[in-house]
Amino acid sequence: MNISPFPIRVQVGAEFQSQSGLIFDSTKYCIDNCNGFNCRKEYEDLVFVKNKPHFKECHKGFLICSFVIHQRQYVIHGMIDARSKDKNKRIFDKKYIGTNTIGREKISKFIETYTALDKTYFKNMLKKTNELIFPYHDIKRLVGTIVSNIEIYAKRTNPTMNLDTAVYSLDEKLKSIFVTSKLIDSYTSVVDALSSPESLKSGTSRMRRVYNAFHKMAQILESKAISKKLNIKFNGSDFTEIPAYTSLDLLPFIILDNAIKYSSEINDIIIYFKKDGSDLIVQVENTGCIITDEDKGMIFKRLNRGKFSSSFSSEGSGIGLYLAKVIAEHHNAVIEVESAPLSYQHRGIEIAVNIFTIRFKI
Amino acid sequence: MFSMFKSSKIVELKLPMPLIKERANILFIDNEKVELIETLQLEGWHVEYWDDVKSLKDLEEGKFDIIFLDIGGVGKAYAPTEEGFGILTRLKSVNPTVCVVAYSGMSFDASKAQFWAKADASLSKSAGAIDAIELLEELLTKKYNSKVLWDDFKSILKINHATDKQIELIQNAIFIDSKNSNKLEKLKVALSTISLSASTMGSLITIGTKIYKIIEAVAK
Repeated sequence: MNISPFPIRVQVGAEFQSQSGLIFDSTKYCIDNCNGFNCRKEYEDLVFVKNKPHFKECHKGFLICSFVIHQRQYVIHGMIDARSKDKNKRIFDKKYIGTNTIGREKISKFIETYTALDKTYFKNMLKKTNELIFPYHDIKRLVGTIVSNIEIYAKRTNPTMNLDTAVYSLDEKLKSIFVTSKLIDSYTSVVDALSSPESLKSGTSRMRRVYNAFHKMAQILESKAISKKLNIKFNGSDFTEIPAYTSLDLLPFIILDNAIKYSSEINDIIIYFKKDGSDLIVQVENTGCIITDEDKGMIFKRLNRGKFSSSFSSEGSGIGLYLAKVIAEHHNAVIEVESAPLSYQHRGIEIAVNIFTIRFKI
Repeated sequence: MFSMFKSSKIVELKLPMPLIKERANILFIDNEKVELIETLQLEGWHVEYWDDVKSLKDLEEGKFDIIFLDIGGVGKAYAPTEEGFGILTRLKSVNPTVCVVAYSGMSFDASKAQFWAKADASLSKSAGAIDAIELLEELLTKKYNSKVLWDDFKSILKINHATDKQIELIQNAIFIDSKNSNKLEKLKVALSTISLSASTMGSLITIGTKIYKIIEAVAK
């Protein structure tokens, strides 16, 4: 809709994204008058008021509006009410009036119309998503068949062995099929989870050991690591149990897979387990492309990748760490990253020791 | 050994995993073949497979320690529209102590959130026997515990408006009289003082029998 020059910012969770094109097609007016998005403070209290689409005036006398469509919070700022803001209207007249003026009634009408469509749209979107995801049901069942057949074979081959040991004692090729099947399962689960992040917290939580989840995933990802001449090592152990949802299994998968993707060859990936008071701390350390200070906040946001990520690895789509953060938060944990530069480069990219820290509040 | 129950105090007795494995009855309800059952059986687990809900009574009375229940394509005779979810809802309302694992093809799906919320745990159909065993051991360790079973027993009694006096009598019948050969009869007599449906009576006898078995096994 090309009806106004006003900027629109979208809030998804705690994240803000600038967008244009839905209502407004330029951010110029606000930038010229406020030197950027300085009115953020003005609308912070506004955007956290749920289901209360309303207007507020910023210190420059412009209107800020907040509303929710399709479970997303939209904030429009730098807006002018043509009828009531005579002072600003004069400024406005010079550049934009005539083509860009909009009254609050029009915005309210727009919000009302879209909100009314919201339910139908969301229902259709869910239906479409389910249609797209449905084949995953069959993929998962096939994965289950492969995994089960290898387990049966392993058990028959080594009947006295514990099943887990029997599988991991198999011939390398068979073991590789087993592990690859498990990886397909994990990757499909990531897509599955992305389609409905709210379901990551569904179900009943069970008391589980975080250490076991990491250990199991390290076993599955070992061959992928070896193909890049990487070793996955554990430093310390801790058997504290936490109330965990099924999604907990995805957390070590995402973090370790990420460490493998962005590690330079012939290095170690070290998983530290330690306690800080009653908190359980898990750290995953790898040596790879630097994560800049700017990247640190961004890489946990949906569809965002680090500045050098795509040059360093063709894998990755900017969804893994976003999900990792959501899963961590569901488990009362905080996830952070540190990056300490080493004094050399690889293919023109600065190499650093990166440490992802997950702190579980027990 | 049994003097500890003279005061009718509940002592937490747990069975070691090999003994739990000997006693536990597992059921899979899925309209499609479940490949991991064969491995579980090779591992020594007692696993039964139903391609549909064959007996709601058996499920309600707690004949099975763990029920892996598919969400779709099963239970249409009892719950034509809700299928697996309808069965789960019914089971949990009649006998909340029945342990049901949501067995689904999807790991995460918001539209199935109610199913997962009602179930005790979930297992993806992509899982093999290793994952299933890990889950079974965890759930059964928690379940095969005299105190946990007694708490389950007591919660059913309370739902059925048993008085504190009646509960105390039953507690004695289970824990003090557990050495007697006619203990089950004594339990039935104690339970007959409360107005119970046949399926609730069946559930309580099943749980009571499990407690007796734990006491016997630990005494040995």
